Amino acid sequence: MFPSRRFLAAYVFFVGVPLLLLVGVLHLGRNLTAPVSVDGTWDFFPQAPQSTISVCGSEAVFTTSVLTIAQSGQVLSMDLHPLMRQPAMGRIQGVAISAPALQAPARASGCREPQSFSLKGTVDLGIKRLTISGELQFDGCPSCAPVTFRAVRRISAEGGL
Amino acid sequence: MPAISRLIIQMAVIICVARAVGAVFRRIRQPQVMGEMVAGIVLGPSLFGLLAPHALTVLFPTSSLGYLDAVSQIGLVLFMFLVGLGINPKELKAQGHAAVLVSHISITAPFVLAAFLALFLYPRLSDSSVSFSNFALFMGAAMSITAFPVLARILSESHMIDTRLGTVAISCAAVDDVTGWAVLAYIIALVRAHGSNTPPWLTLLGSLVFVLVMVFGVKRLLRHFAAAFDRSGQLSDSMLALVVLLVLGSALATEWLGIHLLFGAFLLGAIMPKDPGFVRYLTDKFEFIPVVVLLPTFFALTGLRTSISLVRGPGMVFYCSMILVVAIVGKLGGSTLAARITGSSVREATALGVLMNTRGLMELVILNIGREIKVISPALFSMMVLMALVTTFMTSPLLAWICPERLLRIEAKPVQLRDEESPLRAAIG
Repeated sequence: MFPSRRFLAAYVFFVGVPLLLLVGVLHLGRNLTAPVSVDGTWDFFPQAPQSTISVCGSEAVFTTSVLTIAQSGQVLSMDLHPLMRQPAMGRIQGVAISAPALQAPARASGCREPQSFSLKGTVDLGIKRLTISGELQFDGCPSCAPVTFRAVRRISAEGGL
Repeated sequence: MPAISRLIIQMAVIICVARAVGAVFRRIRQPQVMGEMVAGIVLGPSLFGLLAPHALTVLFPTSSLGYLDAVSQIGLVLFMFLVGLGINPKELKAQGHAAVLVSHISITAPFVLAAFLALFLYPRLSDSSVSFSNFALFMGAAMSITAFPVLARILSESHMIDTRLGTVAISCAAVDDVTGWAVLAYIIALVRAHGSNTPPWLTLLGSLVFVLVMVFGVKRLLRHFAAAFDRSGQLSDSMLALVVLLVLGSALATEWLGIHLLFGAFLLGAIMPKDPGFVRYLTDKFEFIPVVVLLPTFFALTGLRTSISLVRGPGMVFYCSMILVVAIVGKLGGSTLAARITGSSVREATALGVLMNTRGLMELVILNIGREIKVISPALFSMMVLMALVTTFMTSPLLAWICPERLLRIEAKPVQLRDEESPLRAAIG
């Protein structure tokens, strides 16, 4: 049975035209830009192999850690193991990363209570391996010097799979 | 704790919670699978993790999820074989041109609307590692899918499976699923090729050759199974084992080709002989373990990956609402419009739209693949899971409202698209 003219007309209008629209949308979307990809696992290196700062009178020690970032557009879920208690939210705008309310457990900060700290960093796009350079600053401790760091993304995260 | 002990405890907990929540949902006239999907969310960080974060990490430590994932993948492979087995291309052909039109509009409408939505969401919920075209095509495929198996369950429970409406809905859902999976295969090939040395055209060419070999070569050999079944009314254990081997082999082939192992399982099911008795027999033999034991594991893993806490703040809630609106308008609206164009009454057309809007399990399968290949972000994944739950949940009550039982009792052939004079056939066919 051959389809009627009405069927063909309906098919062209309701299926063919939307498909053309789809092609147009795909073409239009090529000009859109999404936030820089920072999703994945990063090796986190403090400025010196073992940076120490005095928070609440005790020495907090920063060693090489693992920074895990789950990215949803500009919103980042960040986990700095073992320094943080649980993942916390951050943001990326352009190449600037910020996470204002990260929580370090008492044993990691050397204090009796968990301490909050912030992370600020910049993504370096110019080199082959993606890196973040930045600093950690403990809240409520203006005298504490910020701990500068460098994080390097592991290759497995860059490949996409 | 030894890994195997932990795995057994995890599976026991998952099955218990899935059955319990499933039973609750059956009481409110929802399909069991809807409850199982919600059970997965209950077991994840969105509820269990919120109430008892330490218990969640003890029961489901990240290091143990690999085993759970392997178990659920085996379950999905067998389940996708059953989904393919249930698809009969001849059924759609028998519905005439009108059903083809309805089916294709029910794909293109949500697909194009999702692509428009992608223009808005891409800069907000994606990142530079994903190209816009992959993002938009994935959103389109995810929005246009219909949960073929859940739909069959709902139609069966509503006593509508043998009505013309039921047949058209099932046929359209089958076409939607095949189309959705084909688009998804294309996206996976492109994304995986990006991270490997194999060019995408080679992956696509290899996949095409594989499909042709399966459809024109292996399909003929599979007739021997149906013939053996016709002779003795059953298959020997060796023949059943051979079917399992073919499913696994086909899944492995598509995985090696660079698409996904679920395609191979689905394709083998789709090309199996479609004699009703044979299909019923194979379904009975293969259904229990994957559906009752292994699929809840998949739902639990989906729940563990879903964090509703990511959907917080006015912006995220707005994006989630937009996804929900576009999904419903595209699928329910598109299918309803298509049925109206072909002359169905408002009731018939709306019922078809509601049925086609059921996404359920198939949506979760696609979303997990999207998450695995990193085409969608964790927040978008969570939003799409919520959309899948809402659109599946709304089907049964809406259908009961549009096609109430009293109407089913009064009418000999309830809510049927008119046969001979049906515009579905007459006006367009």
